[in-house]
Amino acid sequence: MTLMGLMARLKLHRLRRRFSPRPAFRRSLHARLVAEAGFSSRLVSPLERGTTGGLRRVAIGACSFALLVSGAGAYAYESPDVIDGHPLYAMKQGLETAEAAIAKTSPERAAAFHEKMLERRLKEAERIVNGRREKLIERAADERERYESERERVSLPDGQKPRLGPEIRDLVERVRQGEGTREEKRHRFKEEARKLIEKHRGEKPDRNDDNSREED
Amino acid sequence: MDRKAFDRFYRENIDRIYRYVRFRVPDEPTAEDLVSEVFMKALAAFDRYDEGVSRSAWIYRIAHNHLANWYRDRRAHVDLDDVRDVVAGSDGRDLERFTDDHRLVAKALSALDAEERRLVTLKYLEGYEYADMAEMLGKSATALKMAAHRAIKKVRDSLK
Repeated sequence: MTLMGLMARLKLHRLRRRFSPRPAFRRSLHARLVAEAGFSSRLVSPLERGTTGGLRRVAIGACSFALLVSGAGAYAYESPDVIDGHPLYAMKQGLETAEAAIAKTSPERAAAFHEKMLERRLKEAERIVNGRREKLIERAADERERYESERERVSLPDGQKPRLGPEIRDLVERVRQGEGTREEKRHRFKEEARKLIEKHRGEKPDRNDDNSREED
Repeated sequence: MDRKAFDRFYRENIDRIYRYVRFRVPDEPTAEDLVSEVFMKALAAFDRYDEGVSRSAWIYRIAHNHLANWYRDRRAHVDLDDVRDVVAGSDGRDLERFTDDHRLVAKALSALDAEERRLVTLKYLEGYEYADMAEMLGKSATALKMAAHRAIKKVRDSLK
């Protein structure tokens, strides 16, 4: 094979990588298919996990919470204004990944975590427009399904302080109690989330026009 | 339904089917929706899937038909087997926008005839093995390898 042929293949390979699916999409679609097929999800207790993996997660969590106490970390983590494109967004994602690792240690923590992420994605989606907002709505739909899945495994105590805003809570409840397959519910959730976001955007002045990019 | 068999099937096909769809639609959310629907259809019919008979051609056919229906609903006429035709645009696609990456793909394939484009797309862009392509195209893997090698020589000049 000539060098030129090799270069051509390399360029095509790079193009191919750019058209590959997001890892989060790959995982979430698999989870939906498993749920749709009615396969039982294997519950893995912390004792079954390798100690190396468990210790690593605790170490990541400990380091990340050390970061969290710093001002920049706390702001990045909590603020819905820190969205894709913001200088602190990578820090926010890193902290969320660390928290996700800790949340996996129990179904209760996992349910609470996904509940929080669902609210967070929708608040971020309010901030931005068009294409990127669609991605966040998609991620919110992923979080809703993970939240529902974890919630089914635990009985949350009465009077547990709700984390979701009332409108999002109502939306999640409506979708849960509605008819239809998992795909139909997911589609319905996304449509209603879009309407909710549009409603809020109509009521509030948009503070972030200079931060967001128009898709079109 | 065998969970392990389905998991293996999913792992082996998710990336290629995604790329098959992604090259032919303008944006990521649309591709993700369509791929989800394709795999839901595959799941519903998985009891009829026989790995010994068909490795990738089965779900490839599902994806092709699903995408054809999607284009038909938009009253667009495209040759799904020819990515360059999909991207180059004709009626029905004025409302859609393809990315610069799509245009780069079209440019890369511009030097090839339709059959060569299909070959390069399947092998180098979508990532199929020659054995799978032989099954899908009804040709021998050896013949496909030789044809792909000739096609790559033409592609290299258009990618400069």
